[in-house]
Amino acid sequence: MDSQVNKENTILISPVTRIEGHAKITIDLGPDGKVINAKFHVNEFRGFEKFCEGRYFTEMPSITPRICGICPVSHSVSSAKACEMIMGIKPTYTGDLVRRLIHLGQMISSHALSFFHLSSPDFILGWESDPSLRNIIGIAQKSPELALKGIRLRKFGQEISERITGKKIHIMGIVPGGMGSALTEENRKALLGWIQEATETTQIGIDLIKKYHDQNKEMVNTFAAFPTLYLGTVGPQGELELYDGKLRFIDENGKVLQDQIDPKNYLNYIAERSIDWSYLKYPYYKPYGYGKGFYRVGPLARLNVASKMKTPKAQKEFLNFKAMNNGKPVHGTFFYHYTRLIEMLGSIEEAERILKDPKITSTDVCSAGKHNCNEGIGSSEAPRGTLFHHYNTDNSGKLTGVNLLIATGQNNPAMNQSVLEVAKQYIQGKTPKEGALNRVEAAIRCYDPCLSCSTHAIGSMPMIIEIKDHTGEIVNVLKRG
Amino acid sequence: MSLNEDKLKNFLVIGIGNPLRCDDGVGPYVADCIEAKSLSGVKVWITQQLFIEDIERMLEFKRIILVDASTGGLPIDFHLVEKTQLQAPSSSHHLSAETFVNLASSIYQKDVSLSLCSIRGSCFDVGDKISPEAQKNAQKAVHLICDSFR
Repeated sequence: MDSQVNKENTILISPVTRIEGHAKITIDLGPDGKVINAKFHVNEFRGFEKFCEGRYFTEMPSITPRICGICPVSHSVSSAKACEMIMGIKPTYTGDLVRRLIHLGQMISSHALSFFHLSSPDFILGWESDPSLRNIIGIAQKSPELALKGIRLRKFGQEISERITGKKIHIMGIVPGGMGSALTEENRKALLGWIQEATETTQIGIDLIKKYHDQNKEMVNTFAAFPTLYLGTVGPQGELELYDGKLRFIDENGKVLQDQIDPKNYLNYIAERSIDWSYLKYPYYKPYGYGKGFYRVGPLARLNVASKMKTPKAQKEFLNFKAMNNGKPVHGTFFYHYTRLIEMLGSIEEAERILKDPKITSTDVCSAGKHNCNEGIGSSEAPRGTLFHHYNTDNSGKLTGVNLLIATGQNNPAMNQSVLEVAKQYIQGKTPKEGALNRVEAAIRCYDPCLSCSTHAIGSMPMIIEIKDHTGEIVNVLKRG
Repeated sequence: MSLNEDKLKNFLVIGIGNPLRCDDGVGPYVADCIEAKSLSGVKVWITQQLFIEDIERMLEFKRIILVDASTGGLPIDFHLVEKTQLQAPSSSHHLSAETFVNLASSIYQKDVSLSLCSIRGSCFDVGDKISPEAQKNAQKAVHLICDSFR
């Protein structure tokens, strides 16, 4: 990490590493050198919502995967659902099933990347270890077998997409009405051949994080632990649902605030406010208002919200997770990692179930339709949380309005709070140790944010941390990239 | 592309770049030119970026040649990539040729023969046309790469 200190009193860390996108953190110090405020700034802008206006609505499932190389499937799925609402159609049984499978593949791929490539170096190599090696390269040196397993797990997720659509990223083939192509028997067998290895690797990750929890209870339980509301998608019995379902909000004590909400009514419950120091907005739960209504999405939120998992191995871990706070929501941000791994385990189990469905190789993958009304809303659970696509069209089907409510955006208030909590805990004075700054970054890394999605921005994601004194002057700037 | 078919090949040419950013597409352009020659034992891939997961599939080949655009330097720079000190990828979206060689060695315990052919471009605006200068360099690169198969 580069660092620069000026005569005043502000620390700037730049760039934030091992996250997807571009950001900086500013940390404000009081007269006594203690942290009094911290902010996570996203300083990119891309404008997807604007330049999609004027396109024909059915193009969107092919355009929107270009927003992100990590979660293109979620964008395409949410987009196709919005189009299906406009057309008044539903996908065929097999089309829906194949979509679910690709979506699970993306969940596996993204979660494997987050845990094994981006976050595990902190646990395995240590917070204070050499930053130049605190990454997948360092893991490859210290534990090549684990590095290989992590790489292969991600490869499995990507191979699901590739074997169905021909592409690993920026997939094409998800269309309004279902899929543009079917899964062949050869590819079905090849994907089934991965299940055992993928399950074993995920279990290794779960054992790793649980061992870390046991050995670092104090740190894990206090790391950016603060109450918020939570939002996730659930099935009819409250089971965790990633592809399609209804919305559930819970409060900080686990009380269900809203349940079985149709995603098309999301604007009744979610509002956004722009802030002057970041391109990322501040969404909130509308009935509680700005501030009190801040909520979290993503793996921790989904498992806090859900009543159960759909598959046995994931359910077993889910019960362990729920027992951590006697069935109440777990607020510790560090537990995003554990919940991410539980979701990955459940995704592999569900992928196996789908691959064994006799109709998965049917070629009846798409239903037909045409422009039928002027508004469509679709949602799905992206790896980082609930994703909404909302389109308005004119009578010819050209888009007149596009609203994309992205998971990372919904976590923005919580990411800021997390940065503040960790900065207060680990930073003292204007020249903090590198390991302390890494912990501040790690608070953001827990959310696995994708800033390219949330601001619809392009580019790599360096991080800057600025530290300011009580007069607002910058006293230290740290950059990494 | 059949995943099993690749294993029979001796040479892998990977054209890297975005064909919708003018000369950034010179890597895929060269790869297309080489594929059009239907050379025995030569496989061609086109991609916009390298991923760590790609290493495993590339290890099946005797020799790998990456073809990519450069924004400066020599018109054509064709050289063997040496194993150097491990360097961290700047993001999950980017993997350098050197990192690829190092990861192949540290994770798979295999030394790969990987060459990089950088071709200088001059225009990287939005568009699908390759500039005359880059086209000229690309044609030379095609000959150099094909000669190296012998």
